Amino acid sequence: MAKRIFVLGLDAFDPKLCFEKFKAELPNLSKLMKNSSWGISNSSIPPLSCTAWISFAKGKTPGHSAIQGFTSRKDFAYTDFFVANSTIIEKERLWDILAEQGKKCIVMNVPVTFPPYDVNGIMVSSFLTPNADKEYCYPKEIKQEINEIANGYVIDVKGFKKKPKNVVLKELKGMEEKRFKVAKHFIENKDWEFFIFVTTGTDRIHHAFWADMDETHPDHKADTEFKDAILSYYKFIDEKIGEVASLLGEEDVLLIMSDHGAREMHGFVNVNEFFIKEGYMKMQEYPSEPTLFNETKVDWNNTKVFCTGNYIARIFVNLKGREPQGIVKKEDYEKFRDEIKEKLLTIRDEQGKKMNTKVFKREEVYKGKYVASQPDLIIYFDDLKWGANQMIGFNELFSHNADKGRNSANHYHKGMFLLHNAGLEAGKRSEINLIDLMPTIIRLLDCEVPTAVEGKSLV
Amino acid sequence: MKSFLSKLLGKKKEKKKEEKQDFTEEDEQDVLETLRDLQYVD
Repeated sequence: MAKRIFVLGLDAFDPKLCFEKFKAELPNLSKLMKNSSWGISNSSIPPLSCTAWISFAKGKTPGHSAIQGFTSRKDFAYTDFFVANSTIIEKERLWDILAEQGKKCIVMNVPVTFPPYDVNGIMVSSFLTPNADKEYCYPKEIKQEINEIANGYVIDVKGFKKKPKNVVLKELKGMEEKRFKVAKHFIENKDWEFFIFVTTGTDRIHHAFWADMDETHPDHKADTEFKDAILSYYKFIDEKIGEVASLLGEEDVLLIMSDHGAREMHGFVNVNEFFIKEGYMKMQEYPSEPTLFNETKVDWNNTKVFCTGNYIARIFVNLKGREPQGIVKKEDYEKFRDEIKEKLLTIRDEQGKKMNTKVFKREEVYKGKYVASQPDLIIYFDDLKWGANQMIGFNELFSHNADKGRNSANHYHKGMFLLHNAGLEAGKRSEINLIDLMPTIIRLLDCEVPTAVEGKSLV
Repeated sequence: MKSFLSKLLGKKKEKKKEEKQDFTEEDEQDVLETLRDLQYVD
């Protein structure tokens, strides 16, 4: 069994890009692939960073958490949402289990770890930290050490949709340089048995530059000077992989993984507009311009269904006895939900082409005590080639602005993993589930896996 | 002695609890602003 495990979490690092398209340009990853077990990991449903990193760390599907995304409905309220934070997650994530069993843990930059807490080691919270003035480290003294090592810490690159692209690229790399500097310092100078460090720039780079890379994307411009921006970022990360791997001991296990992948996104389906057009949703006042769903005036007494969430549609039935002004009777729920599912499957794309849309009923994909608080339906439009938009006021079915600025990539439901030095047969293995990695890590560290974990250990 | 120790341990535990940070309404507003900036307004 391993004495130490280092997990390099690369948010949104895409398997098709890293294992295929860019492989020849990524010498460190390619070298590791030769003597590691690697492949595709199926993300959580939905493949949002928030739900995915929680699912990974719990070894469970999202039905075990009240969190639906970065924001979640408060007790079925229409417009009152809570923000994902560590205080509302039961202490059953990977590091909680390991710390309880005496393992020294370092948890760095994993989404939904603010406020940070005691993990028998160090916790540095992620981009959902309110701002850098906050206490984003546990213990608090670590903040000072980080500031000295990295000459100031960056929580996230703000306004990356509006800034000039060359500035965004520079800032994303600058942010990760600082973080890797800190992570490498911790690897060498702190006492740890489990270390997880997650990058954020690997996610942002796809959202900001996919159309520059992808000649088939409708927003692609032939004269773009950022055609290789994503490749250059993958190369940058590959260098970091080499640097981190060189600091690990011969017996240390290295897991490189993403929470989900990325793919081209051609625009958004305005789901609430669809419901209005189909007569399922009524407005007291139709907004004069595209407006966030929770800032519009919905006529709830005449609305049967609505959508929250961007990118991946989260559909809620306006259910009597559950929603404050619910009108769909409980006895009609199943039939109505099936009707909505069928309606959503009829949506064709902007060119009138049939979409490869997937609709999930919550109980079909989730277990756990929070299943009932999760959306009634979750939709992947055209296998996530189209995002969902909750905003109202477009007067049409499709849009290209969810809120601020364009975005040419969506998350994809397949992420990557590479497990090195874990005693597994080298080479590509059949697809695993993201939730399998948590029990794998626990077993590799010779600790006990909680019985309620849904994932299956690979070892 | 036992009760003294348990009282002491109890107090220590309470002290540790005090160190735990809350997620305040102000924090929530700050994060919401970040999410909107990121377009992750879901």
